[in-house]
Amino acid sequence: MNTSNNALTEAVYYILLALVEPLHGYGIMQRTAQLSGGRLVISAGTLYGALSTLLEKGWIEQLELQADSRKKEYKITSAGRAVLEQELTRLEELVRNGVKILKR
Amino acid sequence: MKEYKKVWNFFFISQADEEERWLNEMARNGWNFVRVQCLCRYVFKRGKPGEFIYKLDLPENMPHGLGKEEYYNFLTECGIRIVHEHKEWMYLQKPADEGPFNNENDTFAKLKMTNKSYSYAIRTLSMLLRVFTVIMAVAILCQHLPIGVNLQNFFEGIVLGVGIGAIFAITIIWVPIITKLRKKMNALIDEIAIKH
Repeated sequence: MNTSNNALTEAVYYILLALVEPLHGYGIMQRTAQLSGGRLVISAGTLYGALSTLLEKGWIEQLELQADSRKKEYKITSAGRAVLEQELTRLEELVRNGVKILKR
Repeated sequence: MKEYKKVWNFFFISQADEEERWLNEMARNGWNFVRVQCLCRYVFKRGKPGEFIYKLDLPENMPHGLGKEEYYNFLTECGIRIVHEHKEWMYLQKPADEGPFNNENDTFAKLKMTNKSYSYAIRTLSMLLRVFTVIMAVAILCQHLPIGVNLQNFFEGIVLGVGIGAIFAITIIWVPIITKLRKKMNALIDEIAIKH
């Protein structure tokens, strides 16, 4: 994978984190808002676009529809998890350097 | 007391923000948007002030994955109701106490919406151009048929009228709309380069 510039957007980072547990669209919105303390409100359009792209990349998958439900559920894949791990390493580097230089 | 109210107003494709602001202001004053007739006749229904918030949207056209139908279902799932549809435009409604459609400062959401409006404006323009071309072609053809001077003059008039109309519509209406949307998109892209 290209390591030079693979920063995830905040929205995608939180969507992937949320999908460690299976969730449907609205559930993802609620979970990301909760994780960020209400700071991150993803618009339906943004979430929808992100889900399509993440499915295409194979970072998340759609779970089989249950007979009694019309809502589609999504879950992170192992590829998605690897991307998250990598992003976490990158974020740690950002924080490390920030703390070091600003001497906090 | 009147239950319905009709208000004349008009917004260009590039003024979706202004239209949205206006609909939300009406809702804050207790007038909930119902539909829009003939582009400029807005119908409102009396309701509780501040109960709903409104947003304009265009369907997501994802080249892969989920389709338009699914976007509709998705919106419904998110507690969003499609109150009215005009061509591809959707007028979305959401209970105000369930929170906003997105963050005020969500530059990406704004860029996405501007990009969708831009594509829509271009699509509409090319559609209009095609219609103009067909009318022109038919009229030019008829102009050269042996149908008498009067009818030939009539078709010549159509060719002239449609031609001038098309040039007028494109330079006066469409070019400014498309330019405005493009500039807005560029400004948002610059912003995203700094903070996202």
